[in-house]
Amino acid sequence: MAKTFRIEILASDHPFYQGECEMVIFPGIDGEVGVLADHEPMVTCIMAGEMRYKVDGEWHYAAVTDGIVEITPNHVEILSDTIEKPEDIDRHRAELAKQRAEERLRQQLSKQEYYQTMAAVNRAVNRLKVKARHK
Amino acid sequence: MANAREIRSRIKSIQDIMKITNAMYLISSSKLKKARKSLQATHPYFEALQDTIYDILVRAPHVNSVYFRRNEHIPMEERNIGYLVVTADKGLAGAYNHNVIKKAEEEMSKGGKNSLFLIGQVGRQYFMRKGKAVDCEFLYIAQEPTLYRAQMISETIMELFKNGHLDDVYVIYTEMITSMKSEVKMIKLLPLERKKFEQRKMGYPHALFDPSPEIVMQKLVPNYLKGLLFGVLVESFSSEQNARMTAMEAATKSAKDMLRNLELQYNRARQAAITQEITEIVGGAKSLKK
Repeated sequence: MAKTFRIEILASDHPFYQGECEMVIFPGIDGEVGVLADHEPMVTCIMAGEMRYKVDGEWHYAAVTDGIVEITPNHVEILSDTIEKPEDIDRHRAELAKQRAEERLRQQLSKQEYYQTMAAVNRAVNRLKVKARHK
Repeated sequence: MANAREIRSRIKSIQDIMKITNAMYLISSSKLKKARKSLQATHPYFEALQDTIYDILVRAPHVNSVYFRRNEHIPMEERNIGYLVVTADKGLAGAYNHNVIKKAEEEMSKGGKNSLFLIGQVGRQYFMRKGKAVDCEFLYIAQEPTLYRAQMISETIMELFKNGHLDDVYVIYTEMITSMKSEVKMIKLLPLERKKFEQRKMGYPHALFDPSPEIVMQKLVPNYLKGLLFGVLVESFSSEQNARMTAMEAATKSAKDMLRNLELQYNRARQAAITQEITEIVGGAKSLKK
């Protein structure tokens, strides 16, 4: 069995997973980042996308949004706004959210509102993607 | 001794108020259950976030980021200090609001150009009446905290900080320590405190920041503030419900005590009235016989 490290994945509204893990791959600022045990200490950010982690040779998937990652050789801490398992994602709701945000985008928006709405679209699209991939 | 009818009407009014306090007790206890559930879910994140940020700041190399801007050349009296104060939307929560307001006033008396950002109606009304500098467009409620609201608040604050309208930003809120005990706390939001070198010497190596410290900080700080404020709102909301529940429980209890006393007085007064009537009748009958 591969060497493991401790991983703590916390969403702002619930602790998602805590325990041993062989490998984790998450969407970083410029591309996916994979982490194995004994990784060099690193601090980075997690972006909206699909995260996966391997426990006992089995991959687990989750849709994440923005967050913070702290990596030390035997411990990885992932803090994100929301983390959802594919089976918990409500496709209908995500689609509604996407439609709503896209409708808003067509209106006159301030710069700040524009970015927020774009982020909302991205989140919804990401949810749908993750859901579609793991039916 | 007051007459029986007066006592009767007091008993009636106390009973009515007791009904209200009891209803409020029930409402806040059910709200507290909900709030506590979300607090339990958020608490690990809130704690881990603070620990992680602390750790990251210890490991961070020198970063040229606006979030570290200390503006040390500005003397204390000239500094624009922003206080984000979390109170309840309603009163009748014991000392909950009072404690937060007291702490805010204490901090504000230390000098500087203060401006207030108030979450919750009670605090807003109070400071506006006092004629303090309150940001009028900053309108947020304290109930049912959401991540979205936390984001809006943190964006407003960061914008002001980046533009140089604020030099220091603090948040004053109530933390729930146990279900029986809560405490007013103050956290410095911005600028971030760079940890001193002593700790670094104690074997804290620099960490790698991917892709660069500047970019990581740029993304990390807004995220951190959003998460922190969300935690602050959840903690405060829980404390508020807890304080209200305790206050209403105490009010109901003292209403019961008062009722017991008044009931006794009423019975005495009634007894006295009856005795008096009997005496009068007997007296009257006697005088008729003569």
